[in-house]
Amino acid sequence: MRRTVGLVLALVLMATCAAYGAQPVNIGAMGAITGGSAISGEQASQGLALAEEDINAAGGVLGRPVKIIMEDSKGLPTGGVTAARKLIFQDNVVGIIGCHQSTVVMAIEPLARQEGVILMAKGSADMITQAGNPWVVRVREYDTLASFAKIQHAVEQGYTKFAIFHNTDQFGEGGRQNLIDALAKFGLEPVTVEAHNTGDKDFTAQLLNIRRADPEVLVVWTHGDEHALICRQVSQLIPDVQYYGSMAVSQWSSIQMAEGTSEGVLSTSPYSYLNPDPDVQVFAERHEKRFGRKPETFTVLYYDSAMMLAEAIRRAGTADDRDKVLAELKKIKGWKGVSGIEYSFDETGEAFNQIFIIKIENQVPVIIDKVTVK
Amino acid sequence: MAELAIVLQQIVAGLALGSIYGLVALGYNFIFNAVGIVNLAQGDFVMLGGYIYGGTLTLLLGLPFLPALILTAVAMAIFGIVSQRIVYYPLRDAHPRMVMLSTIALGIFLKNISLIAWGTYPVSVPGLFGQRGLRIAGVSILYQYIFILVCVIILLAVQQFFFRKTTLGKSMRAVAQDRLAAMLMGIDAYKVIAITFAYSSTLAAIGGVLLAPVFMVSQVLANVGLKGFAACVIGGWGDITGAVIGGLVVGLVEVFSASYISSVYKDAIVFAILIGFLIFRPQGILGRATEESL
Amino acid sequence: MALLSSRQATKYFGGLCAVDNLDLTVNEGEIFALIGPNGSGKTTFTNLATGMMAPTSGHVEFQGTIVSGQRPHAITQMGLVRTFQNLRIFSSLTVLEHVTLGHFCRTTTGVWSNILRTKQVKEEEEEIRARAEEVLDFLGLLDKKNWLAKNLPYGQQRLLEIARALATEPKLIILDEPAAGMTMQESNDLIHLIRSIRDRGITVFLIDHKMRLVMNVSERIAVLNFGRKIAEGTPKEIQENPDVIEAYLGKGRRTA
Repeated sequence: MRRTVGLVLALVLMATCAAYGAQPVNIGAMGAITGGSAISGEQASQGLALAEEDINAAGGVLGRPVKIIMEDSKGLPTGGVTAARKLIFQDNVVGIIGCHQSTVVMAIEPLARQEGVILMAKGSADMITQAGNPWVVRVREYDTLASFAKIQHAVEQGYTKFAIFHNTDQFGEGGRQNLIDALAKFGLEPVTVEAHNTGDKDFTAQLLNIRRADPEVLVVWTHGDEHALICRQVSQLIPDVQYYGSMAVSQWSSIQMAEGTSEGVLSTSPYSYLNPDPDVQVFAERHEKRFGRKPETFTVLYYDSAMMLAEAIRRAGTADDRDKVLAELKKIKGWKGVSGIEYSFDETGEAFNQIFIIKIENQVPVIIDKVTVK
Repeated sequence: MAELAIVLQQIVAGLALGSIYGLVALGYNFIFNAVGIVNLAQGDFVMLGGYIYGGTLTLLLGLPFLPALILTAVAMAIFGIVSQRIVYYPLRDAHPRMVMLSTIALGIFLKNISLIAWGTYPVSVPGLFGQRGLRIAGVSILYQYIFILVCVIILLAVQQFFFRKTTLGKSMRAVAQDRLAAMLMGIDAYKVIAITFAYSSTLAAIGGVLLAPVFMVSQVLANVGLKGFAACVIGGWGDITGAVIGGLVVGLVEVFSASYISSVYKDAIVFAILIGFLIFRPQGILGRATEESL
Repeated sequence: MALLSSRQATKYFGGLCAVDNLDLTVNEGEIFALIGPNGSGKTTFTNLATGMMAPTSGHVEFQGTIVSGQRPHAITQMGLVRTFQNLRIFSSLTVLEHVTLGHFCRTTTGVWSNILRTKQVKEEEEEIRARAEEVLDFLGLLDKKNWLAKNLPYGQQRLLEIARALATEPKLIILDEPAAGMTMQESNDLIHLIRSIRDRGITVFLIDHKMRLVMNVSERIAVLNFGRKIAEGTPKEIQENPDVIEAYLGKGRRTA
């Protein structure tokens, strides 16, 4: 009897060790936790915390628990390289999810290629997947997709006079060029182009210059904090213009910050927490219960990326042969994420080919259309 | 007509921004006058005031505007005294450079503490007027902007009275001019300096409270400290009237250079003017020597 | 009765001894002078007595309380005040403001009532103003009470310093070279002024090396040389003391 009990205990212990005592599989991630775009990093961390829970609740991968290690890129190339080196050389991660800043992604991309580490980029600049780096995939809408979808939607509404207001960072400059290119496809040119810097608070001068040019549509390409303030100031200075914002403007937090002035604003986004899709709703509720706020786009994109990477490891049957993991990841087609998007990786590494048109109605982001390219 | 409305709109925005910069500049000048140092954490004090008012008192505790304003002012006054004790007092006999370095450290500390305490999301509070405003002949003016202007004017008047007429105000002026001589007249100079820090922090707090509804509160708000610094240089260090004039100049230059020169380099233009002043007119626009400035 | 006394007061600056085991006693109601060549330690002693420097050893007592090492403003509030050899007036304050500030340390109202300007504060300010005008009248500055201090002629700026010091209602005033830079006429007037200050019941501690002034006005004199007291006595005794003559005329070194 005593021997049986001992044997059972030993077996239980061994099984536990196998699942949880075993060396965990490390997945790296990075985002700006401090610095100018620190909000995005916080959103990412929340999504990753839930992903780690879910992966391990399902028994981890290959009988080993998964540990997601989030590093602070500070939103800067230098910070990103430091974070990537730590993740690759110290934590020996299978892949890195992030960063959400294109400049950071471009800075760490050569390191990923050199060390053979999967990079699941969250930057939207087109060049990320055009660098010919096989280790880079992107789980986010790319700028050409977002800009084309917006312009196409606006042109369909019958608008012809467009003004562009963009951030001067790489994200904004890329957006400006993409918007001009997209307009050109419809034989149009912007009536004026204005710019601002990250961290600017007052946009009166630029908005008045835009008012002089008398556009029907104002396309704003910038980040969340600036979007909220621009919405406020546009409602004062050019109340009649149709505002098309970038993804950030439809975020729950931006809508709160705009204090009602973003009503009627249109944007493109891979995500709205109001998407009636049950997968989206279950996740959104769970997130709100845990963190006291609705999930944002980066929350769900980081979450989905972690889930897909874990799945690729399972399918590859190894966490050490990263070539094999990458090959399995790129085979994923039609994967339904908690974002509501179906991801299908193509040969260039893009997971997106569709995006939602979102309108802020009664202070919530409502999906009014879905644009799919090709 | 439309063009006139646009120019008027630019002037309104420039004056509103400028009066805030002036308020921040006043905060710099009090400490400068009292102890001859530039408190390089002044912008961070504004941010902290904004966070206490917006993040804690308004959003967390749900206090109405006036109690929240008063509590913020009191909290920041106490904070001013404490930071004086930590940052200035131990170094009072050291070179002013040392004190300025320690204020930079305080600023970094405050930014990081606020990140921990209030997180990365900008704190957005509607204030008294939300985003409502007036609209006259195509010119739209936020009520909050008018409120800011009125508050700054009232503060200036009260301050002028305080320094000219009250004994405490006069002893602050005496300490500013010759600390030792003031002490030998029986004035407790360190108490007066502590009160000066308290007052300067209170000014920063009011700046934060007034700005929060317009610009939201985030770590970036501390950057108004740089513009306030520019206002001080342009107005002349230590000059109370100059600070406000300097602030208005910076605000107007910012808006007009953004409109007609370059919106991307507007800050660079402001700082180029600042450097110009430092080289060619270090005594500031009014040209009064600092020791006579109060 | 001793009002101010120092007991073995010593001050070193590095290896240099500025004040060396100095014993001094100033009695209430007298005009006492401390003289000595430049660098003999007179001003250093003043700094020790008024809290601007702490002694290396020994101490200074005022009314039986040790004052050396205390904060300057606290010493002023106890009734020991000084003027400066180099003028330290507040250039942008008016003459009247200087003197009312001097009275500040005698006020009883606090910071908050000051900010809120209670009735008590206003009454007190009125009283201070009256007293300040009396002091200005005493020094002949009343007609210039609204002048900015920096616009006064030099001699009157010196008087203003004295007025400011008197406004703190001291028991003892240390005048550090009050005649420096004064014209002959002003210097003569100063002799009368010093006497009338004493007649107000204030003990005068005069530091100067203008012999004519010191010998004329003081009742007791102590002489310092290299931080040490080399003589003490009436003006007549001092004038006849060979050590003093030697120190002043510099005829070789005094033999121990």
